[in-house]
Parts: sequence; structure tokens; C-alpha cells
Amino acid sequence: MPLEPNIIEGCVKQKRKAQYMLYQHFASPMLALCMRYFRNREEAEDVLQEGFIKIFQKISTFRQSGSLEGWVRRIMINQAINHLKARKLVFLDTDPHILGNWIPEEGPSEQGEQLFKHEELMKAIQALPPGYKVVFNLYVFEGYSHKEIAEELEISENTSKSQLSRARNYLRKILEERKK
Amino acid sequence: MNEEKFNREDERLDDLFRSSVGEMRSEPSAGVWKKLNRQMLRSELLKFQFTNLPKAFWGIIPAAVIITGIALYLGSGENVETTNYPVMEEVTAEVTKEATSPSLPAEAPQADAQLEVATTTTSSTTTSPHHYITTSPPNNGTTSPQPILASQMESRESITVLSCLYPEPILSGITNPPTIQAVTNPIPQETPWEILRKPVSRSLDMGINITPDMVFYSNPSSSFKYNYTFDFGARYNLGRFYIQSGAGLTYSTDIGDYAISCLKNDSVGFYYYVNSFYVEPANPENPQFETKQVTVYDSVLYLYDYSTKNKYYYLQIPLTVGYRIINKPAWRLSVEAGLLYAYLISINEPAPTFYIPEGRILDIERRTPERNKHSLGLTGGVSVEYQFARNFFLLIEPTFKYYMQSIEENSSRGDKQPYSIGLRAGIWYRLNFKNSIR
Repeated sequence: MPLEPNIIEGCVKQKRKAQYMLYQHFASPMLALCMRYFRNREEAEDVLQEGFIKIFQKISTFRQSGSLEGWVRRIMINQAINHLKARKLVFLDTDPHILGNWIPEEGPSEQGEQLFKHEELMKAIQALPPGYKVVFNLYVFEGYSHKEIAEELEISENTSKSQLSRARNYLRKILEERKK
Repeated sequence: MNEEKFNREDERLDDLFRSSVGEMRSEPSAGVWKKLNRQMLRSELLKFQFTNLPKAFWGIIPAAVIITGIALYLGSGENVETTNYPVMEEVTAEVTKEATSPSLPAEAPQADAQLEVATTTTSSTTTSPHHYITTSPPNNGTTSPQPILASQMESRESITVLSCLYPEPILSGITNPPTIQAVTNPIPQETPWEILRKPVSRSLDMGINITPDMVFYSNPSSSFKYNYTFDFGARYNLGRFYIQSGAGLTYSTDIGDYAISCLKNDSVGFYYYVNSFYVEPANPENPQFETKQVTVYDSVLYLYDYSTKNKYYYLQIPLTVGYRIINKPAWRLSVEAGLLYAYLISINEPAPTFYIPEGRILDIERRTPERNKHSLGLTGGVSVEYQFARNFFLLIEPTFKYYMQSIEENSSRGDKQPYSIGLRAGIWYRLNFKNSIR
């Protein structure tokens, strides 16, 4: 459902009703986004709350020509990353050549979507170590390049690549275990 | 080959997650918005921004002021005027006399021992109830002396009155006390309305004041500005309460906001326009040209100008209710709160003047928002009065004002709902009414 144009105007004027409508519109997808970065729901909700406060404080800087959802999403991701950084985000194994011990099976390996429920896949992501998780989320869901990830997280591109590779291997293992 | 397979598998895995988890939604718990709302309200209040304060609070504030005032008034005990019962001393004296002579003669005339006391206030027009206390001597030993028991009293007020009439040391010293009967009218409970209707001092204060205000705008880009108000105020005092109104002239300033579009020659330069030419017959091959230099504008510049100062004059009419917390003869401390109406009576917005070197102004767009004619606000303050002469006193009052509506029409700069902090200072004259009680 599209957002009414006067809601942004109301949010700029700090009207609570407009803020609530904006919150209602974006809260569900943004909580799902936050949950990909944190293991427990409470922590994700805390980040969601802090993210919305930032959104309401900065909404006057939003340019109407851009996508509001993209802007909101960007703030939420930054908030999640800052939250993780505050807890000293650690990136394990920085060797770009380590691809893990997973070897693709012969023949078509259809990891059919039917085999896993959305919730199971979410849990698999949540189970990743924080460094893997952030890089995987930024690369797969947000479409960041390794260069952008490296800049955002202040790490090298190689570290980003290795973290992604390890994250994928980790996920494959989890999924294979669940398949059994 | 193997690398390609790896890449394909990676993409497949990414797609699996992207298509399922990427589209997920998760409903946050209800507490998130509540916490969010609370946190925002707190930070707004710290910034003196009251846009989202629940409406009920606006009613609660004056109600709290009034209730607190009534509570302080009742709590101060001024309504129990024990010192204004002159007959009480006589009663005490009588009782003391009787107590020191424990055995009254049996034949003592009843009339001597019996005492009827009327307790009144000092007002001749009082509406206070009369309390009649009758004392009678012991009945010659035939009847044992009766102690004063609470159960014998008809109301709590009777006990109060008796306690006043017979202070404890005296009562305890009576070995053979006379029987005291609380007869006649039980004192009814007074309602707050009755207390308010009791005669109190009435007076009228009038004064002139000046108030410099620091005005803060909710728009974060605006810094605070100074307003100056010159006002005539009048207060009608009713005991410790007062109602205040008056009229003030406020001088307010704001910066003018203009956008200028202009042409400017910053790269092409100029050319020479030929006005005329003439050929000298002696030198026909070299005509003489009369030219003028024409500047070539190749770019449009947009400039913003904030150099002008707009002046606004408002008529302000307050209506406030106040209560004097401290009411000493030499000085008084009061709190007050109420409404403030402001009407824009005059605007002076000077036009901007520009000089664009080697340029030409195309258009000047006025961006200063129009001001609303009317606005309504809340006002409150704590005033200190110093009585320096019989009828004159000085007033110093830190004030707070908050405008509930935007002062600008269709403001692009966000709602301009300013609040201000000021210091009102003035000289006042008190006119006491003749039939004043206190």
C-alpha cells in the first residue's frame, strides 16, 4: 500500500499521528530486516526503535525525489551496524582463499525452497557469527559490492569476500543438517 | 569448470535466501511504539517542544495550579481564626478560676457558675456559626464530676472549639472539673465553595511592566531572538488568589528571507555593439566606429539573502489566574498560569537591496512566510512582589510563553510554534477596597 504524501509532511512537522502512520507502514519489513542482524527479537526491536527515532529526527533531510523506503532501510541498516560495532564486531578468518570444506555435489543441487520454511532460513541467518552475518546481509539482501561493504565496515575487500564465503558454507551446513 | 559450479551454487543459495527471507515481514510487539512514543515525548519536552503533549495535559496544568492553590489555602490554616475569638480568653480565665477553687459552694448561684459564650469572628457581617458552651459546677457531690469525653461531643468541630477554649494544661490541672456540655449547634462541615465564599481581602493592583523575552523557534535552523513587551496589567485580588489581565505591545523581529536569481557574466565576457560609424573622406578605407560595450551573461545564479530585518508589532492580551504562595507584608511570591492572545497589528518588512557586480537581477522571490494575524498561547510565571511603599510595589516575574498555533501561514520551514522565556519587571499600585476583611 503506498504511503500518503502528506505523511512525510506531517513527520517533518513532528506530528505524532503522521509519525505513527509512517511507523505502521515500515515497522514490519524493518523489523524483519533487523532480525537478520540479531539473534533475539528483543534486540532487533531495540534497534528498530532507535532507528525510527533517527528517522523522525532526520526526516526533514529526506529528499522527496528519492525512495522513502530506500532511505528508511538505509538508516535501519546503519543503526544495526552501529549497534553491532558498539559490541565490538569481530570478523573471523580474514584469509580470502579459505572457502571452507564444502564441495558442491555432482548433478543439479536443487535446494528446493519447499524444503525450508521462511522461519528456518531466518534462524539459519541468525545463527551465523556476527561478522559473517553482516557481510552476508549486506551482500545478498542489500546488494552491496565488496568494495562498499569494505568501506561501510572499515575492513578490507578480501575480508569481506572471505566472510561471505564462510557465511555461505556455514549456511549450507546448517541447511544440510536440517534437511537430514 | 569447478569455479563456475561454485559460483552457480553460490547464486542459487543467495537466491534462496533473497526470495524467502528478503520478503519476510515481522510484526513488532505493541510495546515498541509505546516505548518509542515515550522516548520521543521525553526528548521533545527537553527541547521545550510541546506539539505532541497529550491534550489532557493542557487541562491538567491549570487544574493542578488551582487545586494546589486551594490545598495550600486550606493547609495554611488561615480559615481557622483562633486568635480572633476574644471571648475565648474570658472563658479560659473563668475556667482557670473555677479549676483553682475545686470545691465550689453548693449554694453558689447557678447563674454565676453558668457561662454562656458566643464565639464569633471579628466581622460584624459574619456568617460563621455561633458556638454556645455552657459550663455548670458539680452538683454538690451528688453527681460525680463528668470528664470531657469525645463521645459526648456532637462533632469534631466541637472538640476543636473546646480544645481552643480549654487548653490542655488547664484541663489537666483541673482535679474537679466542672461539667462542660457542648450544647446547641453542631458545626457543619464547610465545603471548599463555602470556604472560598468567606469574606477575604479584595484589592485591585495596576501596574506597568516591560518584558524582554528570548524567543525560541521549533525550527532547528532558527536561533532565538529577542522580543520586547511593554504592558499595562491589572490584577483583581481575592485573598491569596488573583485574576490578571491587561494589554501589551510586543515588538518582535525576524530575518527577511529572499531568493534572488540573477544573470552573471563569469566566462563569456563582453562584446562591442556598434552604435554608428562614419567614414572620413580622407581615409575612406578606415571607417570610424562608435561602439558600446555589452556584457554577455552566460549563467544564472541563485542567491539567498538574509540581510534584512523584519519588524512585527503584536497586541497581547493575557488572562491568567494566580495564587500567592507567600504573602508577607513586605514581599509576596506567586505562581500564575493562563492564556495569552496575540494579534498582529503592524508589519514592517523592508525590501532587500542588492548589488550584483557585473550582473543583472532577474527576479526576487520572497521566501519569508506570512505571519498569522491571530495566535493563542499559554503563559505562566512566578512573580515576586516587593512592597516598597504603602500602596506601591515592584514586580519581578520570570515568565514562560508557548504559542499553541503556528505564527506563520503555510510555513515551509516547519511549524513555527515558538516558546519564550522572559523576565517581566514593573511597578504596581495597590488599591484596597473599603470592606476588605483581610
